[in-house]
Formats: sequence, C-alpha cells, structure tokens
Amino acid sequence: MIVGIVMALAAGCLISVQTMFNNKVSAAVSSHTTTALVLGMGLIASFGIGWLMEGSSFFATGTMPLWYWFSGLLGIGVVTFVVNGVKQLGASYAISIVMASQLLCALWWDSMGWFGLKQVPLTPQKAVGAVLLIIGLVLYKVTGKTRKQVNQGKPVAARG
Amino acid sequence: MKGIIYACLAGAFLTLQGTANAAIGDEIGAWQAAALTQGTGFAAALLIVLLLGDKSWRNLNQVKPIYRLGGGFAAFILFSNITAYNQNGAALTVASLLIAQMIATLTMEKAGWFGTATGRLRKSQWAGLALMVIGILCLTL
Repeated sequence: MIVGIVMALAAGCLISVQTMFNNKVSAAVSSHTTTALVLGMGLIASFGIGWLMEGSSFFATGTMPLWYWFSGLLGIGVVTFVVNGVKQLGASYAISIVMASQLLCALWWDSMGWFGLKQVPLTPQKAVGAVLLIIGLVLYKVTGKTRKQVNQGKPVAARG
Repeated sequence: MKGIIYACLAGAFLTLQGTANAAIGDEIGAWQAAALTQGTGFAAALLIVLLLGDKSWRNLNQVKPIYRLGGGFAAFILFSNITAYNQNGAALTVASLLIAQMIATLTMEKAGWFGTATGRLRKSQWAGLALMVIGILCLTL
C-alpha cells in the first residue's frame, strides 16, 4: 500500500515538473506540435527504459486485445473536454471541477469494481475524505484565482 | 452549464485513462503499457500535425533543449501510476496524485523555478491544502 502511495505522489510531482517543461515548449510552438513532441518523448523513454530493464522479454506481450491499441486515444477526449471547459469557465473553476470529477469517478468505479478494478467498498470514512478533499480543492483553486495558474494548460498530454 | 459538463467529462476521461492503463499494464507489463499508450497517442498527434500542415515545429530551436525532453517523464509517471492503481485502486491513487501535483506546483512557483510568478497564498488556500491532506488520510486509513 505504502509503495503504491509513494509512487503516486512521485508521479504527481513529476506531472507538475513536466507541465512546466511543456509550457515552455508550447510558448514557442503550436499546441498540437507540443502534444506530438511530448508524446514522442514519452514513447522513446518508455520504450528505451522498458527494453533496458527487461531485454527481449519486453517484446513478449503475446496477442493483445484490439482495444489496447486505441486506449492512447482517450487522451484526445481528455484534451478536448479540458480545453472546452477552460474556455467556458476559466482555468481555476474548470480545473477544480475536472479534479473533483476525476476523484469521484475513481471512488465510484472502485466501489463498483468496474473496468477490472478490484472492488473497494465505499465506507462512510472514505466518503467524508472525498468531501473534505473536494472542499479543500475548491478553496485552494477558486479563492486563489489571482494567482497565476501555471497548471492550466496540459495536465493531460503527460499521461498519454 | 455546458462548461461544467465538459469539465466533468474531462475528469471521467482522465480516470478512465488511468484505469485502462492499469488494466493493460497488469496484462502486458507497465513499461509496455506506457510505451503502447504513448505510441498510439503520438501517432494520432503526429497525424493531426501533418493534416493541419502545422509548421510551428521550426520554432523548436527557440526552446532550451532540456525542456524539449520533458515528455520523457511520462515513462516514470505512467509506470508509477500503473503500479499504484494495481496496488491501491483508483481513488487513493488519484487523490495522492492530485495533492502531490498541487504541492509540487506550489513549491516550484514559490522557489521561482522556471520563471513563474510567485504569489502569496491566502489563508483560505492554506486551509484548502490542509483539508485536502486530511481528506487523503481519511481515504487511506
């Protein structure tokens, strides 16, 4: 459990760093080109590290269900909805709602055991935790509106 | 109203993406899953750039080389994310990810890295962060 939490925390920090880097790139080139570059680098890195770590067994994936090949396209849905949400609501409100929705969907699907997740029952304590988290999130994001929002652009392309 | 629906859908897609990656990673290995999703995403993004005749990549030389490599972090991000999902499920992983992201962004802004503006946090924002940490503890324990 702890290993998983530490890895998730590390991933969150890296997402922030990557967002900073990506913002620098998108200041010079179009958003489409930024996305392509970011995903291309991600491909090279994942491929390279996987190959280094596992050698030829890296390629022993067997036959994969067809949908595996299309899961990367979910990112397009993410980008489209984030961009349109930000356009309509402004970055702080939109990103608060995105994050809250992300968390609520996660709790919901965990408790149903959907999509191959192992079923984690929703306890009152967890419900309270989620509510506190969302109140905290809104307080932080919405009352901090005057702060420059660096995280608005693409929290997205990062995850592929 | 439309904006709220878009934002909710974006959140649902993000969780769906994490879940799908975790399921694929469980089956074929985390590095393989990372390479696969980045690869198919890259192919689609490249296709869009080509179809639009987007030539702005020529300006890439104005970007410091190190920043061009930022996408590479995704390998570690995806690997960690897949491992965390498979250990702890979606909710705890998403919660940890969100708070680490906010605190890291805040720290980098405060430190003035990457030349971003540093604003002072309001009391309400500190309260918000504290509530989030308590919320995560409730989800964890």
